[in-house]
Amino acid sequence: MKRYTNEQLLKIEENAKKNKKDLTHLTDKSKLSAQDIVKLGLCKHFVQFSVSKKMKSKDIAKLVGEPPSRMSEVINYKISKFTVDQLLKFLSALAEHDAQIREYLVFFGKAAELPALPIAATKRLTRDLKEAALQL
Amino acid sequence: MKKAGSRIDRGQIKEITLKRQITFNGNIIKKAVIEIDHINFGLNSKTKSLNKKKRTTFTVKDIEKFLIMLDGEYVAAKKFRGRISRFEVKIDCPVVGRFKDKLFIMIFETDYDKSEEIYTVTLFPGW
Repeated sequence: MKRYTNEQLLKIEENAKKNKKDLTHLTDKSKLSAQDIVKLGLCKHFVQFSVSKKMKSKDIAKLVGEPPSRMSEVINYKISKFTVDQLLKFLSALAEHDAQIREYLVFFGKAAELPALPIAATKRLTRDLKEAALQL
Repeated sequence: MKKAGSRIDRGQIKEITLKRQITFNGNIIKKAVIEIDHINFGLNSKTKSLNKKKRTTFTVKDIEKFLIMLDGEYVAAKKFRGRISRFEVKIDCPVVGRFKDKLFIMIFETDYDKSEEIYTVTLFPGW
């Protein structure tokens, strides 16, 4: 990999410091509330879409019909600025352009529809979901 | 004579195989290249060379802990140069010690042609 010169690196570091508040924050998820975990999970689909389709946030903003700055916040996981409701609305708009997301929303709806199961059954389902995610 | 800033002398660079492979942006990453001296000393903005005094005392194993935090994550790249994507993230220090849970900024790159490898450009205190 071609390395940066020291001067270039200093500039990159300086810019990162300056735009610190816009950067994605990676933190230990075990301390987050269920609501925040759902929000993070929903935001992840926008990033996944952007990575797989090689699209910038402003292009996704056009698809969703939201301002680019708003979409940039979604893509950088600024979850305190959104409700689950809003994220689902954005994801539904994106689903019109992507079959994978459309199908995911069907799955999400079915999961939410599920009645509360006995603890052992819920744990088994959670484990199966984790395993399925690892195999992707 | 070469200008001070155009140098790329940043001390030791370690290449490691991660003890546990991670999935980042859907790619499996097994190897990491770490500019360990640059991370610990930092660059002096005036002389554009490594500082004399350490700002952190991370080992390669500690940096590996930071990288493991990327497992399962999807992050949008900040910049692209050719087939290389540069990522900049804020990350809570997972290393036990005086920096535990303190905010750091990590800058790293992935190469589209070397999807198994991650290049840690720098990691510095962000508070």
